[in-house]
Amino acid sequence: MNAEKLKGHLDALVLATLAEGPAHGYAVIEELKLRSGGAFDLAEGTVYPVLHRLEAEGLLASAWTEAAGRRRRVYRLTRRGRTSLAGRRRDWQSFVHAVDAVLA
Amino acid sequence: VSFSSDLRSELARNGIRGVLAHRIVAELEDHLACDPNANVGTPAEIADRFTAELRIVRTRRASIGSFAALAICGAVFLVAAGTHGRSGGSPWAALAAIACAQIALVAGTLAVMRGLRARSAGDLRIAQRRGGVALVAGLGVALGLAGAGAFAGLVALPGLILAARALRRARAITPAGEEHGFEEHGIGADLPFPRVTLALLGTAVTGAVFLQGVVGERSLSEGLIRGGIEAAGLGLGLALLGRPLGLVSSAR
Repeated sequence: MNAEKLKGHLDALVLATLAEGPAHGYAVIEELKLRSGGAFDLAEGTVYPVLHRLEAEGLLASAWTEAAGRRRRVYRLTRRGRTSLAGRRRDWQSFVHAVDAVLA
Repeated sequence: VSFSSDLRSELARNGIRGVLAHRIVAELEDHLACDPNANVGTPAEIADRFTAELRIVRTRRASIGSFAALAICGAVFLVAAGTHGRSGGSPWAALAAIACAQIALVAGTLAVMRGLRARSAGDLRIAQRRGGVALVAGLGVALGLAGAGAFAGLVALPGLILAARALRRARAITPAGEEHGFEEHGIGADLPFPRVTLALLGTAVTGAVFLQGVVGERSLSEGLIRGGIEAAGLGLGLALLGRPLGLVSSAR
């Protein structure tokens, strides 16, 4: 599934992968791939700009760490990010129920 | 090394430099170290994606910052107008402050309106241009007040400078090769009935100035003169700043 099809949902998906705990960009992408059973195999360069924007919007915070002698930027959800994720989850559930009701 | 230097160059071409560029390159280097075969895209594609994401956030933030700085400026203006009266200073400076305050209010409000909803490159450019006009007008208010003897106007300067820096940072991020044309849609993108709304607002402001002249000076002729000057000023402002502010469409 490409980024175009995920447009509008990628923010929520990225926030959800970070709900379990802090992670760096590569781990976020791998987690997305894993949780979606391989369906969300995104062009990996698409996720980093989203991480930066979510941080600029105050939904994520980040800090440098060291890993294997390299600098690594690790992201975590902020309180605002958690609130935003909860709202997005509710919206998604309502949407799914409504679509299900029509399609069923 | 080639990928990193190419990415740095592409980011610089899009106006992303310094600490932010270093951070992006370091993150992508770390990613490629985790998986050397990762499909991260070409340096140009990565730079374009960062540009598209970051310019929206920065423009939005700059628009809000400009509005906040202008709100402080407006408060200083109102306090100065209420307490300073007509004593001392140049009357021309006072007149300039009054004119600039109106431009700053209109341009700042329009900048926030477009900035908060901006998605397209055109929307971002118009929000940035409105913010720029608003801040220049805000500077005019601060200096005009000082020229009129109300040095409290200078209190607004630090906020205006900070907002101008934020706006400059937002404007710096521009996709390489993007054209800087005028906006294709005018005020209609911000207001449901643009012509009617503008006419009503203009009439309301002119009417308020007329009444202020009549009541304040107890003189119908003074009200008519002030109202006339206000109406002429609004017309002149629309003619001069209509296109830069995206009030009128460039589409013919």
